[in-house]
Amino acid sequence: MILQSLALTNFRNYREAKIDFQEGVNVLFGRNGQGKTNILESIYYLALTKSFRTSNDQNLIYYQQDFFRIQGDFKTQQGRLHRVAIAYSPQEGKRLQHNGQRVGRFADYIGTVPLVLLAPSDLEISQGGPHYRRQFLDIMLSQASKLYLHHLIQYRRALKQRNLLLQQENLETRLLESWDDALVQHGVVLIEKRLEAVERLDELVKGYYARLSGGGDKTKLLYRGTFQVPPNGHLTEVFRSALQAVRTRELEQGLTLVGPHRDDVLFLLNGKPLRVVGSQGEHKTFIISLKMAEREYLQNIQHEAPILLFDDIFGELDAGRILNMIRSLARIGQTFITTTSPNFFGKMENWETKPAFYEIENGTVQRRESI
Amino acid sequence: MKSDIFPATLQDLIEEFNKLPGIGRKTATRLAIHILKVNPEEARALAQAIIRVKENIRFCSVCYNITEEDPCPICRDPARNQRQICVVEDPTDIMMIENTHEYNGVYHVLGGTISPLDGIGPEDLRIKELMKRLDNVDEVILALNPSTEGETTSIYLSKLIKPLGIKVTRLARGIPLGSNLEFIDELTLSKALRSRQEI
Ligand SMILES: Nc1ncnc2c1ncn2[C@@H]1O[C@H](COP(=O)(O)OP(=O)(O)OP(=O)(O)O)[C@@H](O)[C@H]1O
Ligand SMILES: [Mg+2]
Ligand SMILES: [Zn+2]
Repeated sequence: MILQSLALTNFRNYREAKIDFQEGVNVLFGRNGQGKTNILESIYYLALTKSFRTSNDQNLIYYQQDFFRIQGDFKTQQGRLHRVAIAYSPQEGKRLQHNGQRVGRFADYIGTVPLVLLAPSDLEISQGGPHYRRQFLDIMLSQASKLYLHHLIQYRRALKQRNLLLQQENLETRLLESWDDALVQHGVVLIEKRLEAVERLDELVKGYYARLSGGGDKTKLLYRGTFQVPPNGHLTEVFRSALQAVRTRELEQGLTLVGPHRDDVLFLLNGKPLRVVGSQGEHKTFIISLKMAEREYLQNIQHEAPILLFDDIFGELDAGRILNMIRSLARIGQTFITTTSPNFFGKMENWETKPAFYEIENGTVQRRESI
Repeated sequence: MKSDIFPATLQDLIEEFNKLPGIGRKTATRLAIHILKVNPEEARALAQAIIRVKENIRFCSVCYNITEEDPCPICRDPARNQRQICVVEDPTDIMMIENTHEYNGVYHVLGGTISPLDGIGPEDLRIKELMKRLDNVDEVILALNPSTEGETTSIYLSKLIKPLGIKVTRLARGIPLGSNLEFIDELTLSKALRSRQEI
């Protein structure tokens, strides 16, 4: 998917802006606080109808104004055009138009513009607790499959209900077993799909990490379940008996102790857990590889290259890694990169497609032929 | 949260509307103002309709459907198969299934689904009453909504009923996920009824 042009009205610190973008790499550069991330935020908003920085849409309206509007012209690989416009005001709420038609249910539209974001907070995926890694998988798989999303919602609901039930006195076994069945029925779909995805991501990350680091570094992704599934084991049966095995403890604690809501993914770098041994730059390289892998995974399923948004990811990376990254980005779909220091780009030669440069200053955008 | 912009009698009416499901403060006010504007006969007709419903409509003592006569016409109909019971959450689900003309058995209204979050356990539903009806029954069809709670209630019921040697089936999954029976078109519902599965 390619964003050909973007028009902003009263969005964050942009009163009025219209920008044409190109295929390949688009570099947004400028000093701190000038509006680089705001541009990424508006593109993200068009694709997912919400921001990644705030859940309160009023924060997105230019100070003292009463509405904002974002419009984007997208083109698919097959050359189909999508014009998407979103307007928001506190009085009328959010209105979405897709090719001139008003869209009532946003869920029907989301997914039309596939997109992968890498923001500084994504470092939590490799540095933070298991929750961040589950969330990463859940978001990716929900984009890839509506069925996954359905089972995820039902699983979470069943989990909440079951936890509450576990806290009740004189619990009827048959009733608890009914919730076990519900939990297992949805949970096995989550586990199966995640296992499959992690296996695929493992291969992809290996390739990207080696290319970025330019060396012989080997990565590995391993799905870590709360119970082991033997090679010929039946997942449903194994999950059910795992629940039975912890029953006494669950009743004591009033909590569901096994299942995909407690699973984790282990990231290894040269055989050692990244979370323990990784340097800042290695974490960053890993997360970039993971996001590139996510993009490729989604592209293979949706047959459309997601737009990549890279917000401020150059810090802690040596020049070699940055060059390798940008080289590989130039060949795939469309990428937006924000940076305060665009200098390396000047030194680069032998472009397949030269990046387009945009200087951002206090809510204005200027295309620059060179930097 | 009474405000004193309006006279107390109007305020009371707004409060009453506000208690109804799906009616917020704003809509309640709009409805009350509307009542103010209609002619007296119309207002009286509405009030009487509400009173008549409460006086004349009761629950069927067999299936807990809403009815003016007890037992309800479906339970009393000799042409209907009394050996087949379709279990639903609410009386509105019966209406939906009746509209398909695909079903000739009788019903049982549970009155909801098991949901610890809402403090609803098996004892809060008409499950005991259902169990008492099973002596001469061949098949129980579970037609609960495909929500997490509906599905779990179905699992629970089948764990209770199947050991009695009675066939337990449920609607096939053609139903759009997460939707209520009320909102499904008849075609989808009748297809789902025909291809119900044993669980
Ligand atoms: N609703 C708004 N109306 C007007 N200006 C806003 C609004 N919200 C944020 N801003 C301004 O936008 C600027 C921040 O923009 P942005 O986050 O895009 O910066 P940036 O260029 O990415 O900077 P950095 O390099 O520090 O990340 C701030 O100066 C902020 O005051
Ligand atoms: Mg920024
Ligand atoms: Zn009846």
